Amino acid sequence: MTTEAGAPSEPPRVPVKNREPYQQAYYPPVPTRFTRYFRTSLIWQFFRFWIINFKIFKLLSNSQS
Amino acid sequence: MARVVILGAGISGHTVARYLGRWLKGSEHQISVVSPKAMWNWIPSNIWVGVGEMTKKQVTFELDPVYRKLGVDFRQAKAVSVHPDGGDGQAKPYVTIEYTDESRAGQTDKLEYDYLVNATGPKLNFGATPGLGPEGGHTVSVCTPDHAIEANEQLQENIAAMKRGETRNFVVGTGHGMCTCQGAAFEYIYNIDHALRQNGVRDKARIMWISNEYELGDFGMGGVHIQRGGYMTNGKVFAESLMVERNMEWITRAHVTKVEPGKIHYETLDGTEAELDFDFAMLIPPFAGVGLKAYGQDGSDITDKLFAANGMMKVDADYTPRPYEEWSKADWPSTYQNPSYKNIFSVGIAFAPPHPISKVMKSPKGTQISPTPPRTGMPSAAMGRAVAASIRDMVNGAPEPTHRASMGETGAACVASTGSDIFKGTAATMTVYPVVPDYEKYPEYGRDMDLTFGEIGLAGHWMKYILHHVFIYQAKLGPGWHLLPD
Ligand SMILES: Cc1cc2nc3c(=O)[nH]c(=O)nc-3n(C[C@H](O)[C@H](O)[C@H](O)COP(=O)(O)OP(=O)(O)OC[C@H]3O[C@@H](n4cnc5c(N)ncnc54)[C@H](O)[C@@H]3O)c2cc1C
Repeated sequence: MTTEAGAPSEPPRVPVKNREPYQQAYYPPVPTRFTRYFRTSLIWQFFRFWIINFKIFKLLSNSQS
Repeated sequence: MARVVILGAGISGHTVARYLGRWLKGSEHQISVVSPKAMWNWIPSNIWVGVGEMTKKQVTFELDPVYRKLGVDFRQAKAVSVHPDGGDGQAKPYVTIEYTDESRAGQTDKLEYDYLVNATGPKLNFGATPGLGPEGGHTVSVCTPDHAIEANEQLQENIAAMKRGETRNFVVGTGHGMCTCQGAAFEYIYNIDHALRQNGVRDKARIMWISNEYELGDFGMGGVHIQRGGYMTNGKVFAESLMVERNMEWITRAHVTKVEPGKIHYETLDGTEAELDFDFAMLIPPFAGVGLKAYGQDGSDITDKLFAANGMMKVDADYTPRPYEEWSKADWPSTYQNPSYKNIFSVGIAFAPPHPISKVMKSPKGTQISPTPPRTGMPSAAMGRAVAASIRDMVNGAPEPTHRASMGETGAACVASTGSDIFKGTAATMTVYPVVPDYEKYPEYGRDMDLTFGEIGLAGHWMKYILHHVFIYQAKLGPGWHLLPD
């Protein structure tokens, strides 16, 4: 992958090539385009924001009880 | 009238000072805070200073005006020794301090106390690994704002070189087999990746992670289990996925033995000795206690009565050495009271933990290569608040501490930014409850699976940004600060 200096790079190409088998990058799950979309989807993340906040709030109140 | 002396104005010490100041305001009781730096620092945001996205001014503020609001006496000084039985003509217990502010630098003083809180945090022990660290070594750090500024300067020089077409090796992680605070390095590596991508030079860089964790995602907490994609899976999968997605490589189970210009020497658990080339390396140092001494009434050295061998203060933990299989949450302290002196407490990184949380591992040479226990922001604040409440009640007549905050009953949340953009940025949000696994209450995984989770997304980035402002507002005692969660 090459990019012009100064321009933001594309997300890196995941180096899972089975030419040299069973390398480090071969095993872990790599997010699909669908998963990556939801990570920055404003509507979905808006809901997640409140859910995460609620869970952290619960964690805090458990910690202080 | 009681006098409370708090040593250290970091996350835990400042929490004690804030609450005690509020609760005892207007009473006859006096509170003093001793800390060598004039500024308070929201340490988690040093990461953003380390990539040039924030300035020192944005992550610090002056402590003295804040304490004046509370009626708390602030001494810009470092504590040197504790005299819990008095001595040298003083009947009452006292601490000796050495001023660090310009007008009185080097002068010493004695501060008498009825209650003492040691919240002096860590000594950044760069000296444990030859060549480690920014002060005389060859690696950078993000542990203080000034370190982070220097890290960013080096980062920008490397980016400029890559823009000229050169290639660069970046190494981030832990600089010793017994480090903790992996989370900070974990966050920094993603911020470097993001900075390189923003500058269009990511393809010119090799980014490597090196750490003492047995597996990625251990974080000194023995790892975590989370629910993911219909499975109960390990945090290792989550952490490795993040690295693979961003084209990073990793070395785990490593103890950095020595750093030379451009070369890291390390040993791994299986006994391998190897080298790693770098152009830029940010390695977290191991932590020790800050080196306070303790003396008896007759001037005899009683440091080992108050402090463990690593310089951290003994509290109400069970320090009996036990094999991993017998470790329990009951070993962990809950009141943070010193067993020998009931008017001394220690919170945050300054207290001596009873044992690690991750299993202790040794290489064939006998080198310990496993993380020591973390005491991140949320538990440090919980301890600070509990100790403040106990002291408030004790000065009002309670015979013993009234509040508890065991790490076996408190959680931790860590939000690691992995790219900052209000619409496109993401962060990895990770929480664990409790920090020290409780296999009696949660027999399968030792933790509550509803409150222990990991998630990547824009929501985490918003939270990280909001938390920065909320915690600084709270620490500055903005109106209603005490209503905000710690
Ligand atoms: C880069 C980085 C990022 C982090 N990010 C996160 C995060 O995202 N989330 C999280 O939960 N935690 C995070 N942490 C961990 C968090 O910063 C610590 O858990 C927390 O600061 C510990 O609080 P403390 O009060 O024990 O120590 P500190 O906050 O370090 O405070 C210690 C205080 O004692 C003072 N002191 C030192 N020596 C003396 C002396 N001799 N006498 C008197 N005072 C003294 C120091 O000046 C300081 O004011 C991060 C840590 C680092 C380094």
